[in-house]
Amino acid sequence: MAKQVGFYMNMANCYGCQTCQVACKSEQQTAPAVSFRRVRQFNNDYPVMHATLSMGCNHCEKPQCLVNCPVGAYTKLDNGIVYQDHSKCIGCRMCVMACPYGVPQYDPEEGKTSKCSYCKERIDQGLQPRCVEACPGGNLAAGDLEELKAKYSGVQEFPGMPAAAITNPSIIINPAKAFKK
Amino acid sequence: MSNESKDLKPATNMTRRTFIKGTGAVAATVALGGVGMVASGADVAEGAPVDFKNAKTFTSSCTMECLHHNLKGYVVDGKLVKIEANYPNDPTKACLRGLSRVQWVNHPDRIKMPLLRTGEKGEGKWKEISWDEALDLIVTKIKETQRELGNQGLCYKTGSGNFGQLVNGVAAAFFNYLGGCTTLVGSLCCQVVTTTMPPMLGSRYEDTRDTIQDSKYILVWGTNPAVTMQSYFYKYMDAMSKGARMVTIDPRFSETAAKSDEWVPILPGTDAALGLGMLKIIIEEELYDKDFLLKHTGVPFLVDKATGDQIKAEGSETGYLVYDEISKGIVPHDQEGIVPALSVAGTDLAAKYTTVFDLIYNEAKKWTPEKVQEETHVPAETVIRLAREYATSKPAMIIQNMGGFQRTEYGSYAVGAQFYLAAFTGNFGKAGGGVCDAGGVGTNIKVNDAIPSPKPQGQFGTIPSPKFGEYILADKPNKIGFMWIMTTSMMTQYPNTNKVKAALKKIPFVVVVDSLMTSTALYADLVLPCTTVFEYTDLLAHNRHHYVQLMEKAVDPPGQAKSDLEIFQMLAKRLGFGEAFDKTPEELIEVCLKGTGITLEQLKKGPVLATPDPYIPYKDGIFKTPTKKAELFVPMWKSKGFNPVVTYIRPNEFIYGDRQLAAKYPLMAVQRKINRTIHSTFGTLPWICEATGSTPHVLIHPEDAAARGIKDGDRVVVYNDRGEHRCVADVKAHIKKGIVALENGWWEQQGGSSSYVTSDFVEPLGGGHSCNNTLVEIRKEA
Repeated sequence: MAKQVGFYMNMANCYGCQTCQVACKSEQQTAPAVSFRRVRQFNNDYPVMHATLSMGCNHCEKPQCLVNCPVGAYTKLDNGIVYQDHSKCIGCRMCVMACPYGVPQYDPEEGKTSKCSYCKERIDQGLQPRCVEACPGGNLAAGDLEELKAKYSGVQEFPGMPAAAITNPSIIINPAKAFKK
Repeated sequence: MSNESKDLKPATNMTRRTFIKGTGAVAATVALGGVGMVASGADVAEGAPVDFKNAKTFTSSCTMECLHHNLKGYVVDGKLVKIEANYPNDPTKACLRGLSRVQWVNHPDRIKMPLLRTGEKGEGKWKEISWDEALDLIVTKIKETQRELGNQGLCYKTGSGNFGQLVNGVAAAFFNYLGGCTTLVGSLCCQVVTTTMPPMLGSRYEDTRDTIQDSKYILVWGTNPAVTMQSYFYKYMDAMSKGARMVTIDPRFSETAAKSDEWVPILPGTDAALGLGMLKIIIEEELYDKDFLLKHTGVPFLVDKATGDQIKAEGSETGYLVYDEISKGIVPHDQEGIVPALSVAGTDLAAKYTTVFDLIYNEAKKWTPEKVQEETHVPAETVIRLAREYATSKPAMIIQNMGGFQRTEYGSYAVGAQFYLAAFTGNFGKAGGGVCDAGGVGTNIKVNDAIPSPKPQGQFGTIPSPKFGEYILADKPNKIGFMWIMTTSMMTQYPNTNKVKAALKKIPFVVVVDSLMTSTALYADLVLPCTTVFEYTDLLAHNRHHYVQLMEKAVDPPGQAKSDLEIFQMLAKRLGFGEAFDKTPEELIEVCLKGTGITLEQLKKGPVLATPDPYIPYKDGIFKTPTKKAELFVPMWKSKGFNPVVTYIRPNEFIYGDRQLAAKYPLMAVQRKINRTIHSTFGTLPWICEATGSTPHVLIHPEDAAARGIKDGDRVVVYNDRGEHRCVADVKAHIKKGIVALENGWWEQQGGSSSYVTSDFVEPLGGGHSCNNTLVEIRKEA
């Protein structure tokens, strides 16, 4: 089986501080309104519920961005990273529409789309993705997906999330208690 | 929500679309109207990506009123390009705000030259002047004020925007070198903790953060550590994963409540009633730790019924007397071999004496669970259960952390009630127990002032901070002719903001020192540009972090911005204050560190731990009071005409208080701290605006909203007789019905502070701020 990197997200312990989101923005120097990692909120009134989930790109086994890109800007690297060659992007936004997780980010100023590269340049230097390194709560982990699976238990989807069968995302989520079975 | 949550069905209204959108996390492009604020990304976000590999790194600290995390700054070609947490040299990690400082340093709207007002105050019309002109003008205005109004015509205010050792203390020294001035007293943040904790426990800034993970029961009381103690919040999660129960008492279903086993909504300002109600159960069910009470607290101390004072052995400051059950006599509390009586009720002594225990119980016993329910809206059975759980799950920790519960009309009593609970259950001095305050370096080592301050040449009067506006407008206690404001933004943080604004307009010469055009700088006569973190050298050794840190200068400030220290040094030279100010930052740091055992050389290698690890305040029940016991009777309260033991007094600006006011303004407003700012700091940085939004909101219960025809997302006006606050309605059941949550820290240029409506009542026991006893009404914006 090919090597595959992944993310573990401990949603059960995430308290939504958004440090990962800003650390990513800072590291990747993305344009205004382009965030490769976002912290989503889930709220309910009766009974009250508030939960947060930090998500970047899930570097899927079957990446829909790659499948639907008309110019072949996306490639799946040896380590499983779904990588975009930004110079090839024509800004057609097919990937934006195709990704079930809303990962690719279109920048109207530039007229192009970009997305999380799993901090490829940092990985090449032996560093962790910046979001993982920055999380004050230690609620994100990165590494070989099989190793992550051995270390953490969790799910690829919970009710309300896109079906994992579409892309087989390389993620393990420990869901917030409201989303646990 | 513990019991319910197990059966909770996942939110069913989640669709793929909502998943992609998330909620609230995707902010629209920032729209900041007003003066000189732009919403574009800072220029670091433009152009080719920076290669961080060859960057030079420097360390500094995040110095506003927060946790003072150590930061690592990356510099390329003389420009700060990235900030990271300096982990693991600092074992806790900086948050989104600390990382965003790179945009502060590089902000396109930095003030680069002194700005002299040319239009009306608040109009935002300025002309740049040279530092020489600015300093000459300041000296002239100071002298003019001294001549016309005396030194009492001078006033200054420093705040919590910068805790660097070479900043705020230097202002105090400077104004004392001038001879003294009118001063503002009382912090808006935690004044009543500052006045309640030392007489009871002997010190302040005693945090229990090192052992949160060892707790079996965490009672988060009117505070929101998931936001305000965020880098330590993993410890709360650790404790829970080991089986601890966490309960959050808060009018709002806070981020912390969401992580807790149970959310206990409460009416604002009624916490002391809940505390006393819990204490009643603990006393009557004998769940208290009698051994701890006798050995480590002053509850057996005898009180003379005639005078109402505790009695002491003649000639002894600490020789409080107790009734010894063995010798049946009155003896000093610290005599060997005695068994002090907790109570003398029912004995012959009762005619003349009572004990502190009896006094406390007399207050507690009034608070039956039913009465607590009526006053606080916490159900009677919950009161009983909380009391039993807290008293029997040991160690149990109360998270106080300068929470909003104490910014209420009689906040001192609410603070005291928490200390009573911890003392009665013997939770002080144990890992996983105690009461968590803010804390840090200053608790364990004495760091010197950089510039020793001379004694002022007289008493020139004081202004209670919450009443700044009112006092200035009434020339009370003095007419003010010259005001210096630094490290604070009064126009966002001070209550009753319309009066603050009028006051700033009234004072003939207001100097504001800041790095950006803040809400307060808008109302200055002269704005002086100052440096921000990574642009100057300083020492951080305060009461928020356990590490002493060197703040290195990494880059040059923009334009002619100068450090606060340098500004005072230049003025001191003009005013002939001699050599006291004439030292380099490094020399002053050496002065600060003298006697601490920590050296500048050490700090150059990284932050230095200056607190025992793990730190357990009042270890083994040894308090820092003169008796080494927790002294639960507070003579200072008695001297002010209040009960010396914790009592519940109903707030006035409260639905059950001033009924006429409550009929007009039936909603109780509390003011919350939000993720995007520390007070108002960071509020306009693009990444912060993008990640967290750029519009003020008010959280309102769906039933309260429906009654006013307000829908989620509507623009609304929150108002009362003091003023109004325009914001967007966040309609959710994440708050108790009848209460609304305002957000703290919004700038004038973003719609203005919610403090326009908050109460400027001065808490009478300790001089605190009571913004969380505010009544308002809300209407849809026309």
